[in-house]
Amino acid sequence: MADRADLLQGTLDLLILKTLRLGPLHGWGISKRVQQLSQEVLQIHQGSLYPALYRLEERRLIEAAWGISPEGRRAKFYTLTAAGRARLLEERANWRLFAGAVEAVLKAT
Amino acid sequence: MRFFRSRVHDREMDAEMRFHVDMEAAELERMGVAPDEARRRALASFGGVQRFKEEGHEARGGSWLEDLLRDARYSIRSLARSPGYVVTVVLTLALGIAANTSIFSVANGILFKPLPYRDPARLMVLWDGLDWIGVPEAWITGPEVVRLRRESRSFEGFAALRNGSATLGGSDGSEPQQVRVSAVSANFFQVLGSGPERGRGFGPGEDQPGAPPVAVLSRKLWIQRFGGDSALLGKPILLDGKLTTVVGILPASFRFSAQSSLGSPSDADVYRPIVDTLAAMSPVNHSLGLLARVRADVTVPAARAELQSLSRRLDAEVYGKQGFKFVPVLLQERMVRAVRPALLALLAAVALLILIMCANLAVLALVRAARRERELVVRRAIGAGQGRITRQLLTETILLAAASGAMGAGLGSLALRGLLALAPAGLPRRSEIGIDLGVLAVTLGIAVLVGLGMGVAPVFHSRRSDISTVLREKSPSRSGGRLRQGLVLAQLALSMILLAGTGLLLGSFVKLLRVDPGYTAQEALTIDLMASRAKYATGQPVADVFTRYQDALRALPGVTAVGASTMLPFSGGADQSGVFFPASPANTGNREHDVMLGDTGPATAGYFAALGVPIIAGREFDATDRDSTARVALIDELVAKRYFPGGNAVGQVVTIDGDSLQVVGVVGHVRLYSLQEEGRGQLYVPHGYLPYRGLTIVVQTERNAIGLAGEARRALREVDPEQPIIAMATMRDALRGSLAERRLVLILVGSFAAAALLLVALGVYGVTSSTVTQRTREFGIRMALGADRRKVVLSVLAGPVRLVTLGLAIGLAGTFAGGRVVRKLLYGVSPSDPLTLGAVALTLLLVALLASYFPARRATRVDPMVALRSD
Repeated sequence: MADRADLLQGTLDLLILKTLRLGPLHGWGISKRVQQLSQEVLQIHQGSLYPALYRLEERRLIEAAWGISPEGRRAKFYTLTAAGRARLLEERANWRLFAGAVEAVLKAT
Repeated sequence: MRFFRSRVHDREMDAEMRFHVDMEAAELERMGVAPDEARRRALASFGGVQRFKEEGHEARGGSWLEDLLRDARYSIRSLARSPGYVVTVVLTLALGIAANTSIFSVANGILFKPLPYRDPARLMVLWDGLDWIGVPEAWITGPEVVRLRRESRSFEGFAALRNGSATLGGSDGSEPQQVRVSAVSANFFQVLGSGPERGRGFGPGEDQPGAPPVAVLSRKLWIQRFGGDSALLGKPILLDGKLTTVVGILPASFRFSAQSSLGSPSDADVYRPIVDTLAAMSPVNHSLGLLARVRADVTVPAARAELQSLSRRLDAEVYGKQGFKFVPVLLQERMVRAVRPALLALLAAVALLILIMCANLAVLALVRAARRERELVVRRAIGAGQGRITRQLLTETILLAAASGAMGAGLGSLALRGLLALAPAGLPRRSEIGIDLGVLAVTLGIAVLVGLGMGVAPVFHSRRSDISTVLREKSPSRSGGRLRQGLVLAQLALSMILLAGTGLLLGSFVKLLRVDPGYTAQEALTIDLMASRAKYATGQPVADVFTRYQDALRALPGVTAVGASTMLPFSGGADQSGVFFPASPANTGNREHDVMLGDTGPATAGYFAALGVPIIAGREFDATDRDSTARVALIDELVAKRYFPGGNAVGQVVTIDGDSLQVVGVVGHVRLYSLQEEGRGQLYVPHGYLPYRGLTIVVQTERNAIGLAGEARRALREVDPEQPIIAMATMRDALRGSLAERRLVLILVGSFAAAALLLVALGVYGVTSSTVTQRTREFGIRMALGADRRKVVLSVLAGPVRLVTLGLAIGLAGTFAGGRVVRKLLYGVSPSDPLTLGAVALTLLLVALLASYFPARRATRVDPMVALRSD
């Protein structure tokens, strides 16, 4: 379990927005994509994923529409909105600032 | 609409979740897991589709009704986890609401509810203000009633009334019964705006001389005496030996008591027309009560103004400009005047208690909030909105408030019943008191308000908290400590006011118990008798029958002395007469100064011995003073001191209302009205000289007075089998009765104060205890480094002491306001009595120290190792 990390508070939204930046995805796809991109380190717990998706949809950062999955099944796809793209840039900048700061502290000897 | 949309949304969520689980299962299968197992694992990793749906729902916000039901379910689950909290809150709140409901119901029924008459705010009673002889409210004279009717324009009507009593039945063979009678003008029921429910009231002219006698009966008398027989209407009854036709029966709800300035309120059993010709009555005979109704098109102030100008005219024409004025008092004000100060004090006390309770509940809520902080912050972090959390907390507190409200209302109606059972007999409007909807609404309002108040505290508390600090901290956070101290401070200040009020009332009560009532016979039986008008002609026959009654009682075994008078202690049964001593050395020659108003009445031979009133000089009345030619009088020590400061009052001549009598003795002064009022100087004349029909016989016995009652009744019946006995009691009862109202108020306020003290102790304990918990590490280290145990305890106690000192200082300012509320109830104690205030402050300080001592001691017992690990 040491090779898996829990998500830091506040990073889930960022991850969702980022994966959707690459194209529309359904919920399961988002969680798989994050898992792949992070080389299996980051696990999105489903119990957090869907509330986060609904929250983002409510804030009009993403949009949902029913479509057909590559497997030929009906699925709900999420797409990034213009506001979502703007928020992604903002969150990413914040994250880099934060991560850099943490890194700087850790590097200090 | 929302509900419907939510259904659609539910279905969509279902589909989405199912899709997710299917995908997960399919992937697991691809990785080589058996299909069933794959599905099970997929579901497990999901945490249950149903639960998830609920959470997703919550984050979205479902329908109002669904939310409410879910909140209620969640609240009940969460409350069930802390039964101690629930029990404390519900009990505290229920008791507070019960106290509030019962006291408020009494106050509302008596002070605020309109009287049950047509347009009651226009009803007044009028008095003669005779300030120059020291009588601010005297009865009205007949000629004054006539003039008011003729000359005033602002009033719809004036009804004169006079209370008395009469013997019902008797010589027709039925059981004789003494009944209370109000003789009233024929227009009485019209003026009052309430009247008989069966039959009719009095017609015009039925109060004229020569009109056939008629009567209206109270429902109570009609049921008790005549079995509620409706055939009684139009039939004659025997009233004082006179055949009188019953023309009406009053409803059960009918109440009217015109209280004299001295007497106690009592509802009449029989109303009959007043038969005197008012215009022919003596202009110095102040003997009528007067009820007046202001006309609907005239304002009450305008009516008062008109009375003022009429007063000036009468002052000039009749009273020789001595300052006469009519004193109009609204009927409602008049009826409740005697109990108003006590009720207001009780209302204030219960309000203070409620405030203290609210502070306590708020502290409880804060503590609970601190404990739940982590739960709330975590819930918010996983996506529950602020609004949802707030609403859920409010649901929880409103549930608590509703439960306590219901319980409190139930307890309150029980308390009210108890209260009325304990209330003194003279409580006005007693039958109109009940838990009414208004009171219940106020009560539930309080419960909900307190609920909202308690609900808001944790919300603000959790809003300020941030997840990272909460998750890292092990002990509850310190935030809220200031608010909590503030609440305890408020409790201390409020309790100081309540306790000070209680202390002042207690001090007054103790002082009153020490007052010498002027007599020593505690174990004396008193018997109220009224000699029948029909059987005994006014004058000597009345005096003679009382002599026979007393002789019969004196012959009973164990009886040591017997006597009778109207002027028994606490009875208020005296006439007021102008008193003058022509030969007094204190006379100035100015009659205004030399004539005093005294309480006067008849007494029989042996009365003072029977009651144990000291004879200070001369002798008391004896058998030689029996007939109407005995022109002698007894004066009390107050009168003797005023007119004969050097002594030698015996043998002097006194004029009482112009009649010259010789003083044969000086007796002790008794408390005629109540323990707290010294009252006027008292003068007695022989019963033979002033042969009143109604007397109270005092029987002193070596035995238990109550045990004598049966024999006394038989002895009286032997003298006259038709003699009704109005009442029997003991002097001890009379003393108790005169203190009853005070005792009740003291018990109630005292128990409120005790409750307040308990709440304060809990509050201080809580604050100190949490301080000690927060500083556990510090104390552990200090103890490990060898700090002095005493010093540590003192350093803990310093906090509460500061808190208490500040609270008392604030409370002290409040006690001056509180003192004003109870001022009218105090006796011999000033509202800012330093001794009382000091004792109260000391009590509070001691209680606070005691409450802090246990947590403080805990501080010294901290194991340093535990303390260091505790963070």
